[in-house]
Amino acid sequence: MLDIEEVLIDKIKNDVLDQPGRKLSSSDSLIRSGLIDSFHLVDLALMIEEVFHVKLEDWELNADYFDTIEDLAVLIKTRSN
Amino acid sequence: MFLLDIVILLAAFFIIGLIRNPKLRTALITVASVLFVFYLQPLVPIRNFDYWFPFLTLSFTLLTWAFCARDPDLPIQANRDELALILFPMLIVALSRHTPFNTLFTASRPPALWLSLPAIAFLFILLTGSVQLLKKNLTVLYSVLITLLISLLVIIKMPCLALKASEFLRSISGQQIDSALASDIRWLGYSYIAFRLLSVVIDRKKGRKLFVSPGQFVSYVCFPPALAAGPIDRLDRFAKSLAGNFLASIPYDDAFQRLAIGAFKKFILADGLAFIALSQQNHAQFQSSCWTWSALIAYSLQIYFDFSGYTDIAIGLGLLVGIRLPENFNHPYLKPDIARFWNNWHMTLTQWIRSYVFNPLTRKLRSNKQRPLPQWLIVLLAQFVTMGLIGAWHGVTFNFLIWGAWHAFGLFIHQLYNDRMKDRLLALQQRPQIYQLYLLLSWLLTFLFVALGWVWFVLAEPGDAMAFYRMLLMGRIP
Repeated sequence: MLDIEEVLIDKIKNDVLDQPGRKLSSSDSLIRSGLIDSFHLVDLALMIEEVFHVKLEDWELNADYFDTIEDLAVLIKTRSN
Repeated sequence: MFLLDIVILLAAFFIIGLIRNPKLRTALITVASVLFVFYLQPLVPIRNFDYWFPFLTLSFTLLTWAFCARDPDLPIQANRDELALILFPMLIVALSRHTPFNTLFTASRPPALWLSLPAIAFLFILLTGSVQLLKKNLTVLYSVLITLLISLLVIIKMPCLALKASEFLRSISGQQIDSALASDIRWLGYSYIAFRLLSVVIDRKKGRKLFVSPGQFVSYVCFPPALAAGPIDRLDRFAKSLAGNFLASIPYDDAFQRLAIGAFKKFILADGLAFIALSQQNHAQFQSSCWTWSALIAYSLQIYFDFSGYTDIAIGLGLLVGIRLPENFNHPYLKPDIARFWNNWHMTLTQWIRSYVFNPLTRKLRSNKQRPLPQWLIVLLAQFVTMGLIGAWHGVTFNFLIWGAWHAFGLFIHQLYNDRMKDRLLALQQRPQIYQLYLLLSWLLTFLFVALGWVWFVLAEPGDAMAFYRMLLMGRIP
């Protein structure tokens, strides 16, 4: 699970947010805090599909389904299995 | 909904909430959903349409269930009892025509039995016949349902089409068409009902399976507290509550607190502010820039208290039967930018539009690796399409489309600014005092932008809106 979280942190900082210098932890709120806006949320879904081969549906891209990197890692782990 | 309707709903839901048996409580919620669809429908000037609009609501709901939310492996007879719970109250409403209580359920006397009874029988035959259709390829049927639901929404929301529809319905009802008005097509809650049904059909078309019973489905689409003004819940979330997972005990404190807050917002604050708020009737009467600004700020607060008050009432009523409806507002006027405003204003509508329009569209535009579009163009297209649709949902008229475009432009500029300034903003967060000042200015700018946008929302004629803007900036022009 930690591997998934590390990859997610790296990809979100570098590819989605394009802010390599930003501090980001697994428990930080991504959506409710406004850190990832609705436009970059789609980029996040595309990145997860490409890297982890896990599909995030359009209706799942909101804080009811995940809000932190920990939530995302659990979602990815569950679907990979 | 009027205050009396809310009191009647409160009494009915309070009694239903006292039932501890989940199955019995679910059944009563289903019956209440059917009866209140008729009861809450306002009087329609077209003969018998305060019966036929609710009838059509329930017919579309049941047919959508039959084609999209029914377990195809179960024969329709397996849901016989629940279908009876829906069709029997419909029959009672129709038969009430010949009782002393012939306006108990409907705003006017229900239609003649030779019309209403065959209609119910026809609906039953369609439901039974749907089993055969389910064995075939349903993609075309789903597309037809989607087109039908959207077409009806467009007819209701577009005044020229609504007028034609009124003329047509008046002609088949044997009424004079000269007195037809676009406002005759008062179909209670159709905007919300259509979006709930559309989400189910679109999900099913994409292959998502979610099977619920007809009673659960009717309760989801026609849940009385959320019928007239939302929120637009998701079927999977709502169905969990109804499948016996009610809140462990009824949170009466929460429920009555939400009801009291909602009633205070709606009937005291919003209705009080209405005396000085900008409206279609008073927009030309303001004599000074000061009063013009006051009217605009009053309207901004009025629409918030009105709408969020209704949501509080809906959530409070839901809690009385153990169902927690989703929140629709989260202090939107306190947010420091327009993107966060829209994440917290009419949240269930914006979430719906994001799920079914913005996300698929952005995904499609972003996935084109062969000829990638520049990011700014993708943002521009996605925002204008999305906000244009939110504008059109309120009414397919020029002023609502401009209002949508106003917010699309704001969101577009905000996205560009945020992408360009994100490193500087991150650095600014290290200096808390300056960052707080920045947030304060950002909030003020956002509130002004939203408030100025309401002018397009309130005033139907763009010329009136422009004149009002001149008044705001320069005072009365001689």
